[in-house]
Amino acid sequence: MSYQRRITIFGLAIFVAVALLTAYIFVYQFEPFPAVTDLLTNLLIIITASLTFSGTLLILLHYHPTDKPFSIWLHFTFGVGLWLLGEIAWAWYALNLDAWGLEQVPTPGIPDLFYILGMFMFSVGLRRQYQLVNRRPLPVWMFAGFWLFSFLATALILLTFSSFTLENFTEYFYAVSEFLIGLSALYMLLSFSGGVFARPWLGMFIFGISDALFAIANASGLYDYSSSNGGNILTLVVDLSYLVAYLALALGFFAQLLLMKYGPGAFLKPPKQ
Amino acid sequence: MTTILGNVFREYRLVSAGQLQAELNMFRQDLSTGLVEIAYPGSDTYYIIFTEGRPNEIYQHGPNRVQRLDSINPHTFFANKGEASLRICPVPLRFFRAIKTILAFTTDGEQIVTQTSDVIAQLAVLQKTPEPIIVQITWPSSEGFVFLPGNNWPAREFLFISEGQARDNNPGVTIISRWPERECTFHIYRWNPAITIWRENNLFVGFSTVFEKILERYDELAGRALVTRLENDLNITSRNLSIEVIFSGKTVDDLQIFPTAASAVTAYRSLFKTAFLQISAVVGPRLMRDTLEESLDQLSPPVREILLEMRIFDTAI
Repeated sequence: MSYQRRITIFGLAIFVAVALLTAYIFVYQFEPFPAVTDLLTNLLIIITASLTFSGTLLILLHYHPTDKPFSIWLHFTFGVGLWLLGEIAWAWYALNLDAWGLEQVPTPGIPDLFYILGMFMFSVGLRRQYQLVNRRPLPVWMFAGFWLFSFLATALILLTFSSFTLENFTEYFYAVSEFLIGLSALYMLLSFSGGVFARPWLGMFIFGISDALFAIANASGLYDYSSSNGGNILTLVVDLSYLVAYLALALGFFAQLLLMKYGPGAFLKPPKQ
Repeated sequence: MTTILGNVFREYRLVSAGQLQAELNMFRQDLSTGLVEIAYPGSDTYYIIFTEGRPNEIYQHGPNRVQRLDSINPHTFFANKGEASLRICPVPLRFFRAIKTILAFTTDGEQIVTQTSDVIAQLAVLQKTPEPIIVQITWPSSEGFVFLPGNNWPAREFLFISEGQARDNNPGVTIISRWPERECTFHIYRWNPAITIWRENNLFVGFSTVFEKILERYDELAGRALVTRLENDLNITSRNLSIEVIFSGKTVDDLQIFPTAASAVTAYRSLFKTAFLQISAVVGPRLMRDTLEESLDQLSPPVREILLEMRIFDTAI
């Protein structure tokens, strides 16, 4: 595949991403079909998560099981797969709140189980990538320390700024752990900087930070305050950051997928004639 | 100097100047590859390296002196020299690196007599030497050549030839360690900065070892699909350069005997450029440079020096 054709294909992918964002804003802001607004917004999130999952799965299929990166992508695929299941479970709850007599999706609940397990898979993949790049093992105690730090930092934030409930803990835990995953992804992004392999990490960095912002807004009550006061713009921005996170990750994976399928030649700018 | 391939191709024929011309013509017409030894009684001995019918290099050996004769036509040069002893050794191209090195020495290499069963252990000891070495191993009816890059890098070439039968591939340690002749002699030709051929040897060994190290690291980071793609592109570059350097399975098989170090440099630069462009596009220039620096650090000093002196990586990074 030529450089120009690859640019065109990637441009199309960006167009699809923008189209999904626009559709989300349109449905969210103007509610053209009020009866199905929730269904549509949840569906758009599930579609985006599915695209992200397809990206990891297709990259994984390009590796041979004995390749060292195989194990990294296997964990990412499981991670994104679990997030996708989390989104489906969350949507299922959200669309049946009235039927089940619930005010909101219970936290912690079944979706959180998928989200947290997915994050754990991501951190395992990150650990393997770190070891591969640096050619030295990252001891299990350091890996366990990452999770322990997330727990302790969450608890400390809660004790300082909020009240300690299981719901609060879960929501702040997302903010802290996703921020840390974002920082780890930044390290990988710098290691691979200038190469196509940096792009999934750029996506993951944006995902981590964006999702952490979403979690902070959610956990701090800003989101609820805004919705109850009719401030749809702020809730839209917060909700959009969640979609943007998935789209950034999906585009990063798509770039690597193009590389695996068509080779680095498609990324090398031809010399000027 | 030890007779090269003397235990494998023993037959000397006394030929007149006319017969010699006919033999050389036949070599040319048949596009043969091999070593031709022409010895004049009481005078000098000449060695001609033929590759696919072309007389590529001619060495003149006299008492304690050796001279490489460039730009002479053997057909006219030997026309009036009278009767000579002629020995023809048809060997594959791969043997010429070792043969050329040995031809460049005026004296025998250091000798060690050893048991065949101890060959591998002896080579393991020599492998630890900081500088590169070429070892010629002679048995009563066969010979082997091993190129050790130095600094504990494993042997780059492991060649073996027995009576009337040359083996073109690297037979590895198995044939040598199972060879039925029990005793053999090691002739050790060490790196010597005064001998020009070592520059070419070091260039060859440095190119291959650094390249293999880079391919290995690229495989670790990117997986075999991208490595195979790169190897295919490198093989295309080789073909475009009309050189016999084959990339496969993360190994480099450099069969090309370059006429000069400068021509080797041009070819090696192109190959490195192809690799660095692709690898940098995939894993980024930083990891690429780290891998290069790491493999250069591990090379023996003379090998590293020639790669840097000839600026092999200049067009690449």
